[in-house]
Amino acid sequence: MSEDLDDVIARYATEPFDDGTPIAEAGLVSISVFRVITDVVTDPGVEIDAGRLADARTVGDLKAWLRDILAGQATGDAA
Amino acid sequence: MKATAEVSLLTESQRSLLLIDRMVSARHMYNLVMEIELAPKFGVNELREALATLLEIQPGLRQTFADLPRPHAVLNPCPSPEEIVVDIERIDDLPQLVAKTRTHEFDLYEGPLYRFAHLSGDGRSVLLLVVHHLIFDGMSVRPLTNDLTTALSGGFSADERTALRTRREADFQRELAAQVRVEADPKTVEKAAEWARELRERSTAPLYPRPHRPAETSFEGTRVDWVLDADESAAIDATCRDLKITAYEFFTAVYGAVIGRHSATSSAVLGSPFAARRTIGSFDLCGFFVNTLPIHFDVDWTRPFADHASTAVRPAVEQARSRVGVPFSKLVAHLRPDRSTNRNPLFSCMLAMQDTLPLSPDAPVRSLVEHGNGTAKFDLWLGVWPVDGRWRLAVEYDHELLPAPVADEIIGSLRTAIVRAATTPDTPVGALFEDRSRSESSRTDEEWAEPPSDSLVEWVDGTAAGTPHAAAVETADRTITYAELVTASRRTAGGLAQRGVGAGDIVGVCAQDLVDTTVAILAILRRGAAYLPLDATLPSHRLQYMIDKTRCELVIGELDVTGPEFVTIGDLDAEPVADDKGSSAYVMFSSGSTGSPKGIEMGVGPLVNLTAWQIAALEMDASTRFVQYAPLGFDVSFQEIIPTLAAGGTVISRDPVVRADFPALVERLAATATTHVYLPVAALGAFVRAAQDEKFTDLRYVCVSGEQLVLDDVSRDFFVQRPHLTLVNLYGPTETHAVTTHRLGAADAVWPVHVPIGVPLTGVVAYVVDVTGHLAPAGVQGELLLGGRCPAKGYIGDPELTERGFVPDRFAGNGTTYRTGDQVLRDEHGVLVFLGRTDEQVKIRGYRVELGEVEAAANDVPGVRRAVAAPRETDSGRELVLFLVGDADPAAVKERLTGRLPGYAVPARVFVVDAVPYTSNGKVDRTALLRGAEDAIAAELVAAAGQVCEYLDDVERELAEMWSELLEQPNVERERSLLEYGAHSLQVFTALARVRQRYGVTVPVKKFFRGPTVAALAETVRHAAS
Repeated sequence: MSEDLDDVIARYATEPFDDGTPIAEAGLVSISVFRVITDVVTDPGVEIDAGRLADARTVGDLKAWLRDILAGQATGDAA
Repeated sequence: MKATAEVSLLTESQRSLLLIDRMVSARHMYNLVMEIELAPKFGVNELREALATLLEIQPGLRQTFADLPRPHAVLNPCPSPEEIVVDIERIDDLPQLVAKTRTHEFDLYEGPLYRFAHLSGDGRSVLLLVVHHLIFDGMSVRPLTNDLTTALSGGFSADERTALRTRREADFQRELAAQVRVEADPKTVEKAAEWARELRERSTAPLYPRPHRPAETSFEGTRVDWVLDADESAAIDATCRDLKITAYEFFTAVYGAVIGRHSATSSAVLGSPFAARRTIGSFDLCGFFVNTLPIHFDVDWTRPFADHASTAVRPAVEQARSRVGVPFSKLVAHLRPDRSTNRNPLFSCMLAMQDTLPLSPDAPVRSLVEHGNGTAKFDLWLGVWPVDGRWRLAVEYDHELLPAPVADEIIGSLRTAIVRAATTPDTPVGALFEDRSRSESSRTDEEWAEPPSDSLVEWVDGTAAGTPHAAAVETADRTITYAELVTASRRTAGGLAQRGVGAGDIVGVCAQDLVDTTVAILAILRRGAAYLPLDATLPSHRLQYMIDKTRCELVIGELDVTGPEFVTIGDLDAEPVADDKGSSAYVMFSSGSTGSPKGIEMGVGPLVNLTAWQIAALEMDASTRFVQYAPLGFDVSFQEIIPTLAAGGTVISRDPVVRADFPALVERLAATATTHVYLPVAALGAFVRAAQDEKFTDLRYVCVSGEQLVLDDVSRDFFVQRPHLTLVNLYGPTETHAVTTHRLGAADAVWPVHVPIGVPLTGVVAYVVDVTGHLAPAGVQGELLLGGRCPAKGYIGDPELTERGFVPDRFAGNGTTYRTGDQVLRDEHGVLVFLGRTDEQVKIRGYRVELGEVEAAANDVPGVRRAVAAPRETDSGRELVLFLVGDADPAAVKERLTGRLPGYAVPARVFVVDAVPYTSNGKVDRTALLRGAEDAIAAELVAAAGQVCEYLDDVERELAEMWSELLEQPNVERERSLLEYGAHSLQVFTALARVRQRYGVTVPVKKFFRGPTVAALAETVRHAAS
């Protein structure tokens, strides 16, 4: 799962990154973060909390956040 | 559109936009205009099919709106291809079609809220789409182009379309439901309250804060576009990487600094649209899921830009993003800002960053260009897009608020600052900007009479030699000729010489008979000494202080102080001696309203400059008869006496008339055929009222100075009816001589209420230094620094204070400037406008209010004899109150002012008082008036407690009941502002829709906000019904 996320992020990042790389430093702007999310999450009913997303500082934070959503999607919960 | 429509939810953002739509006259303000380049093979028929598909699978585009029972959206059925209107035009007509369709006024209730045109020719095929923002946001562009691409390629089968339609309609409703749920969430409510608290503590300032800045506009806009070159764009991207900030944060940081500079504040507030989409499915939808929210941060001008961007701006952006669920309208409800105007109540500057689209030149949809619609939704709007690896920028500004020369300066600052921030991010924020050209500061009125000498005495002597028998000074009982004046002053100077008075000394002069005073002044100047005016009516401790401070050893006249020798003119009669040459002319003390009085030592050089200017500017010659009105201790007295003598005219004594007896003064001016009079600003109103029946056939110039000149109708009419008179508004602190003037005559078409201080006089340099420390561009407020041939030598006996006030002229590289502490700006015509002392500005709900203007407006209401405005602190912020002397009805006065002043400047309460109290130094005692107001309000509350609400009639009762239900308040008083009960935009909306339904009367939202009470609403209803 984690590798898949890196691949999706790499589609939009403009700089090399690892989990510790701050999101901005990877070249991800807010619109590209949304793109990552819509590429990863397929259930149209899943809700994202942009306010909480703002707390994600690093690529690792973003991935953790995405995994939470995906887990919710699997069990039918909205995040 | 046909029936069988479905009712749909409405987000707070949509509600806000609906409200704005009602408040503005430019109904096309929220039109989005998109030029979509298609592959040339697609003709109008293929396009019509594709558009039918688009409308089928994008439910948001099928929305219209309705008001009752509560505002809601309607999801209309899908139109067939035949039902879709597509205008067919030739490609050559594209510019004209853009210009025409961008002003299309959509009917939000009937719909549709889109309009299509197809243009072809020259191997091109273009879809011109105009859509209302209520159903389409920036993030809708991508789903639009995606769906259009697929539809044009024939990518949707009928079954797919039906399935997609069902799914998207569900997604659409789910997104709306999610938004509505979050809006109502207690956590959102809490965030809104917290945010409102933060915003309340911030003072915002408008761009180009001139007096009488329009409170509302028709939103006509001008747009300026430019593209950064490849190097500049690359530098921005590199700086963003280095600073670990996004491009949005970079542009916000620069833009905030530009706004700070141009609105003279170190606290930036700007608005930005945030994508508020919550559900994954919504990202495929067209719709209005955006929340426009404020971003606020401090601007420290000394901090490196890099630091500013990453430690002030980035956290501010992140914080706004974390609060994206807070609807704009909730913030407004908490803040209760002024809504009587049609401007955005939270921010006046906007930054919008747009998405890039994955379009290619060989795809069915090749490119998309968004056009402006000719409006400006904000005072200033900045759009930023990445285009082919470069940054494209566009600025839109409201040209009623920002005339082109002023807007050009803002754009200039923006361009310079963007490049500097990108290329040298270590630059302090203030240094992102440049000095405005120095030539602007030295532009003068160029009035000048070449001085025959660099000595004032030699100048007067030279003139006297030519007109020895002309009257130099005339009092009620004697006249002295020029020859006599020269002889007397030479003999008196002889007596001074005998007492050892020479260059560099200071000799006191008590005002006495004008002839003796003039002789004394000239005699002291002949010795190269400076004269020190001593007013016998001042308290003796004050006089003692002045004597001690200046080490004055000789006084001509008599006073109750110890130390110096006192002599009379007669005592000084002696054989003349040769004149001595000194460098100082007088020492005058400032009023000392803050701290101890300061003795200002004025050099001869600046006064020769002033005299040379004044003789030319006020057309002074042998026929001039200048009345000596000012107390000798005010520098104005110099302007009345010496230039008149240098011009060969006659100085006329005011005696025996006392200063405040204006009818007697008017009589004396007429009887003495006075040509020039120089009054304090505060006296002008009383003077013209006393002179209503006087034609003043000899009078030519009425000069005023001392404080901001605010003209009322009576004063203006006085001058207009006497076209031979010129009104001259002079400005100048005692630390310089008079330095700027603005003239008004009957021929002037515009008589501003707030009269500018004008342009510098010859020899004077007037620097406006902005918050960044640079010479301010046009329209930017800053401190006025005065240089050239006007600053005094300094404060006598106070080198420290002198060093602080009189600083080296860093802009010229030599000379001295005096820091006035006065806030001014140069308007778009280069004319200086006084805005007040740095520390004495009154702000009501964030707006700068000039009390004088409110008072001038009130003075023009019949029955008002005197009006005083004052700011009153209340629990919910500062409000303006007005005190009246006279027999006018307070409610009537308030109503008159409502039509004449912007909402924030209309007094919240009006009190009638018997008289205006004054402080010991002659100023209006606002504190005492406010104390009285508090007592009156307290008494009112006691009286109102326990009373049952009373209404004028059934209309009021019904309206009160309706509001009572909407506000969930048991009693709604007829006169109390509904906003004070907490009425917010949605409730206003509902209420006005119900009024329309119940009474058949459409009340404009703007009209409601001008008088948000049950009484006013009822009056509007009754008026319309009759």
